[in-house]
Amino acid sequence: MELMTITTTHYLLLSAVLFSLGVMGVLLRRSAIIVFLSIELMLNAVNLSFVALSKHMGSADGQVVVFFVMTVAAAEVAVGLALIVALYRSLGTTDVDKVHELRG
Amino acid sequence: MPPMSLQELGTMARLMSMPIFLAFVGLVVLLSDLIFNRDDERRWPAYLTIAGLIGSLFLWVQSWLVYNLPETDNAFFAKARELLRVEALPQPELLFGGMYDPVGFFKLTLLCNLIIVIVALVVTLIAPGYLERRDLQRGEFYALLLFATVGLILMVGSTHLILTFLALELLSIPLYILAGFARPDLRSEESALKYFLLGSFASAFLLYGIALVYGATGTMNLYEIRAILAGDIQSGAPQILLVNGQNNLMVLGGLTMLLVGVGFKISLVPFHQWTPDVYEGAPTVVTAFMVAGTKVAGFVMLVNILVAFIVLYEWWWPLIAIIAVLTMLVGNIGAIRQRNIKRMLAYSSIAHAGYMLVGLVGLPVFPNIILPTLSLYLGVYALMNLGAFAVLMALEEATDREIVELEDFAGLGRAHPVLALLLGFFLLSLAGFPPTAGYFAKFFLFTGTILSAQRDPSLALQQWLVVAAVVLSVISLFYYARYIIAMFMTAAPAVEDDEEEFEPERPSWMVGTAVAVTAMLVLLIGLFPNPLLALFQ
Repeated sequence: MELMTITTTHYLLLSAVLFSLGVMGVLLRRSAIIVFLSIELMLNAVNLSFVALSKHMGSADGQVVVFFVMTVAAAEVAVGLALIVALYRSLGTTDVDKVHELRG
Repeated sequence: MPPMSLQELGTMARLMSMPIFLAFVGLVVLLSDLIFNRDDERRWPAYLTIAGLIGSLFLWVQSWLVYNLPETDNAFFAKARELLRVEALPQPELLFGGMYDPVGFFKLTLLCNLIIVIVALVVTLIAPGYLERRDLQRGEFYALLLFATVGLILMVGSTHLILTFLALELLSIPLYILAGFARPDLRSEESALKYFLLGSFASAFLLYGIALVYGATGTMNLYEIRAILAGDIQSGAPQILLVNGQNNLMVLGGLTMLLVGVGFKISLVPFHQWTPDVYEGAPTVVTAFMVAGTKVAGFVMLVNILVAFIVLYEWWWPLIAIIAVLTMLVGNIGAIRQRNIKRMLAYSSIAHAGYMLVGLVGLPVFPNIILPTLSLYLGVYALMNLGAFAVLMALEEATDREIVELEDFAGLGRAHPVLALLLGFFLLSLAGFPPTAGYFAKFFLFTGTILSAQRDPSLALQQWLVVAAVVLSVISLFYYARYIIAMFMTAAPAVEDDEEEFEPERPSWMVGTAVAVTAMLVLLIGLFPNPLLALFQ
């Protein structure tokens, strides 16, 4: 059996699969925490794409973006978890279906 | 990149002075919260913010003059030229490593910077009273507002997708906090959570789009992307993936993802569902900021992206046309059902996004007509909405109760005739009723679109878009007028005797200034639209 080499395409496919999993997680799961985790999964899937493309093209731009994205994601975590905790305190649940004060 | 001389660095700092200065003011305001912690000092962070924003208006005038000083022999202008001289007016690629363009296509960026500062200024003027009524005086409000403003300014001027993403986040993260600022009010918390989850979901799409575009073209600079797609320059990257011609799947996928990400932010159909909920639940002053500021900056971002992909015009214009029709329909029909003015304005902002998209369809044919009219529309749109919110705040201050539902408006025309008239004026302007500023903004935008449709026969469909837009804006008069009818033609609900004694208060000077400034600007634009448009061109 011939040993398969891993090419950039494989990385990009993996990244697309991870991104899709993240999208499905956001759309299907109901816990705010899991939804948030899925968003992080999407961001990291994109990071994988960036690194793979950057390596493939021999330019550093993509790798620089990854650092920015990681920083932004950290800031988002700080704010997002605080919001979820605040909601949990007043509602006693993090189920996004149970949050429906606003309708119309 | 060659090393930068000190002089070049100075020029760069001067042309980027607005965001730098505002970020600095934001930090000062954040720190000032430590000093002003007595109850009677709660307004000082707001005063500092106002001072900072007025300062940045001067910086804006300075950068406007750098690019627009008339070349006459007039002694005054000669002196000004000497004072403001920028050695060899920098090319866009000079600023910030080619990431930031302070002027933009047809001065779109420069003008939108002014709109953004005015938006922040008006919001800061109406905020203190509202925050006091709801017992939310915390100094970080103004710091967050300023950081979001810096995000808006960078977003508008960004010519590099990295900066676009970072600026968008710099805007969004403070806004998530501001939307939930009224905690532990459940509605505010819910609004913040929805905004946060959907906003970061959209950012992830935007980011994936950036990755795909980067993979296909080897660059993230919007100017370079445009040149590469047009075949003007070769990509710098040695082994480019898949780039062969324009109809490359990766480029199209990337562009689609970018449009999804931006579409979420400016609430285009089908990515609009979050808008009414978030706008209703957020504190009203934050809603004003989101309606006016975010939408304007997001639109400029969309224009910048579409211009970079102008070669793929044939591919994206049907998409934009379909989204425009859907957005107008959903916005207007949705607004009819609303009996809460914040939700109504949310849907109306969706409808206005649709009108502006109609204008964008003609972008490649007549950019020199479409872009100035679009910036006029953006400015008028922001001012009308801000004005409506400012009057709303003044009314709440004067009546000392919350005015949100349609029933709350009953009898206001008798109790507070001036404010009620002003609110009516802003609502009519939003509906595009002649001869208000809103009417002229629509008129110019739609005329430009028709002109471009006549120039290019393949765009004949556009004329029907304009017809749809005009019909729908006539329908929109219905839901705006409902509030005017409620104010002037409905009797006030019977009140208990002890409340009868209540003397109507005059709104405070801050809210009063906000109302006066917005009303004056909308009135001026409505009276003299032509010279203003000439200024933009």
